Amino acid sequence: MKRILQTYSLGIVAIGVIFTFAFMAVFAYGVSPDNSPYANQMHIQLATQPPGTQISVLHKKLASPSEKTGLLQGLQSGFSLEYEEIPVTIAEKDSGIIRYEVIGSTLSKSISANDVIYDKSGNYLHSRVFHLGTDRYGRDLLSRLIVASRVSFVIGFIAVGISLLIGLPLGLLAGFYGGWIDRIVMWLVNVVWSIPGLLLVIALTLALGKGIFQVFIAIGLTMWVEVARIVRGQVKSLRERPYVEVAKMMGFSSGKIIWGQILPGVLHPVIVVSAANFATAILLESGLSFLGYGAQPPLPTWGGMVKDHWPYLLMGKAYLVLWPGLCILLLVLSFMMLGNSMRDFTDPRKKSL
Amino acid sequence: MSELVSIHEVSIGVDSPIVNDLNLTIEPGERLGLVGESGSGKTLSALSLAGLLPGNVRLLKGVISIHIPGNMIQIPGATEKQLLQLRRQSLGFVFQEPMSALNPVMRCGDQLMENLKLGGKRSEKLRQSEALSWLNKVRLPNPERVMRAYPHELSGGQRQRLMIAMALCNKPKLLIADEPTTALDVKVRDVVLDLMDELCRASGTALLLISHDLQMVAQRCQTIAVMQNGICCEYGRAEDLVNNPKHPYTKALWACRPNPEHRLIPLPTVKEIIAGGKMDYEQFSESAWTLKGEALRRHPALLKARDVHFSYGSTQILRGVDFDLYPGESLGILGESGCGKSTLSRIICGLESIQKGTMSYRDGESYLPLEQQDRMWRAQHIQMIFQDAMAALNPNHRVGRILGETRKHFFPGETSADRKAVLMAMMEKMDLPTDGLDRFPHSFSGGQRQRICIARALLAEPRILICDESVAALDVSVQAQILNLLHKIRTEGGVSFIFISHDPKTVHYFCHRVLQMEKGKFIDHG
Repeated sequence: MKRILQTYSLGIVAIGVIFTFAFMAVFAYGVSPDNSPYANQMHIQLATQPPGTQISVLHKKLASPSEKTGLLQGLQSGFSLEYEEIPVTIAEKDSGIIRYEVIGSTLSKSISANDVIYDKSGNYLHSRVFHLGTDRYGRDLLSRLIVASRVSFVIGFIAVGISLLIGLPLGLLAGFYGGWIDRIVMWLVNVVWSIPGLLLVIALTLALGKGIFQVFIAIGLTMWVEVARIVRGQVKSLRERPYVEVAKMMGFSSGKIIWGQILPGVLHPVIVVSAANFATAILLESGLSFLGYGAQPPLPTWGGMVKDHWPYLLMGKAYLVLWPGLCILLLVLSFMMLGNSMRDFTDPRKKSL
Repeated sequence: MSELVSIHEVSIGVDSPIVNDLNLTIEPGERLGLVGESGSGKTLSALSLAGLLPGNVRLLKGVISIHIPGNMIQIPGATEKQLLQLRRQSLGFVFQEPMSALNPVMRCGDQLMENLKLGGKRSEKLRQSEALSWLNKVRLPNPERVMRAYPHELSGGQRQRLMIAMALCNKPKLLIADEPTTALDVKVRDVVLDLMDELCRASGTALLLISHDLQMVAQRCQTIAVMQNGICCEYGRAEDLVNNPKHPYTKALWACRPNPEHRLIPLPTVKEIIAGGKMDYEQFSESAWTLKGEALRRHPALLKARDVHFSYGSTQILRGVDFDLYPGESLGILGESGCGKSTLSRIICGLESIQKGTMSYRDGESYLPLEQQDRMWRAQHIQMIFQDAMAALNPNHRVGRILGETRKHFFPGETSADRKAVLMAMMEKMDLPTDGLDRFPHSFSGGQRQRICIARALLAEPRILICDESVAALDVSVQAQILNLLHKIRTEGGVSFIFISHDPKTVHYFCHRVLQMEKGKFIDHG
């Protein structure tokens, strides 16, 4: 056990990181400070505040309050606001009227004390902390980061799912039957492979239109190639194994042989490749979002956040770019390391040591 | 002290010892044989000599001392540097599988020269000429070509010769050969062993020959140590061990070999002999055995092959094979590897299709041409057992699933409770543990795996069972058990055997009639 922990320590750390991100992604609106849909509460006057900024806000009742969002729906797509947030510098309560000055303006305004929402201890001023500061639109950076992790996971799952859905059967058929089926599949593989991945994705998004679902499909359509190639190679060697010959001799149908004898032997390498593909998909999506082909605002993505803020790199506010960058790096690296560890773990030659 | 190596009360193991209190000495130039079944600890004992114990296996107690010129190395206590020098200059290794011991991406000549360099030969030119002369010494044809060849371009026997050259080129004091011929074709085994013998004698190198084959070792070594379960149970001069074995295990190893001149059925197994309980062995005289075979041949033949041809591309594998197989008969096919006997078996069971000639099978009163039947039909009547049982079982499935899907395939109408009962009965018949259905193939021993394969074949209830080298890869004692099992199946009736092997003794022992195959043809009906 100790040996396993030592040998695969990196992989175990990777799993820890992945689970942390996964938790963040699943319960994004539960853990993020700004739990409005897409963490999209903007206060232009609060743009690019430094980390740790604390402000006071008044919660002004809405004229037509929307229905309170249920817990499940809220966790799924964010809690809609029941009030309007007004960041203030000074606020005084004076006989049923609250006078206040909005941040960034010296104009004094007033509001009826009945129109604001009080906290449990009866204060009309609520405090808000921007732990990682705010972005260029005055949105909470931390909340955006947390909500953006969803896109990365979903893109991973969908792209890997599509790549398996196409690559696995094609690889199995090509490897098992050989001949012209093999030639056609490999020709297709080579064609797709010869086109640079990012360009192909851009072409596909142009054809299918901009948007996050187009990106999902486009990335999945480029990644099946690798799955197909690896499955084909594996099947080709498994096909010659005596136990497959026995099944043939027994008169099992080809489908039964592929399903019962060959597929179990292919699964391990496929799992490993899928972990690496997961990482590749995240990276591709970030790249696309950076180029503006990916998710469209207000949906937050790490790549999009880098795109929004890269000029700040040289303006003393590099953290605006570094945080989403770090998230991409950590998640991609973790999936890569997980893939490596799994490859070692499932390698029978290493097992015998 | 005159001895080269002395192993004194050595125990080797992880936590509990695998090898127990081993005492051995090797004199300079002596040939010592270490005999035992797989798992008896003979390889570990040899590796401990070079400080090469794998993983967390350690020397638990005892001392190994090795005298090399001007120095004495003691394990434990030797530094890594001393061990390295020992391995480079004073020990040579020949392993079982030359392909995995050679670097597949390095030219043979370079590998040999690298060894010479490690042995201290500094000049490149000298190394080159030395390497060539060694390739000549091990009688590799066309040494210049071999220098430039990659390992995969050589045959198994040639690779093992190269290994011998690499092991001996630094004039070691001791050559350790671990099952050096097990992976080789029978035909070249003796040649390779002779060569090793001769070169060792010429240079005065001591030889530690490790094998499971007592007879082979007895022919080649002066002293023999027999190991059983990590304990050296008999250690002495080879003649004494052959003529007058003392330990029951040694006696058993001699007795359980199939011997056609002294045909005991069933074969005594090592376990029985050690337990001392004599079973009812039926001894068949040659004439009685022949009569029995003739009686079987009075019925109409079950399988008739006429003028069977087969070729791969331009290579002719089978050139006109004729034979009849009678119901209940065991037909032996004897031949060296490459003679086409495996191809013939693959044609019979339908893995290859017949190219010219006919093969007809008697079903009821009429003969049906085999090639017109589908695989399923053929498999119901003809089953084959392969040589490598591990490879013939899907490592990803439990035994219960492997056997169950076979039974379900042939008897789809059976209820699952009935099927389960059939499997349990089969496991019992095959002498396999009843919890075995829930285990994976790798958790069984080699003999048990072969039993699982036999069980799988029998679940189809075939009338012909082809055994293609089915006992060749097994230890002698396990071989005896499997042969007894096959015999039991035979006496229960209904199954004819085609028994294919390179080993004349096994074939003649088991079969009523033996056909000798050479270059794709039967040469002699006996």
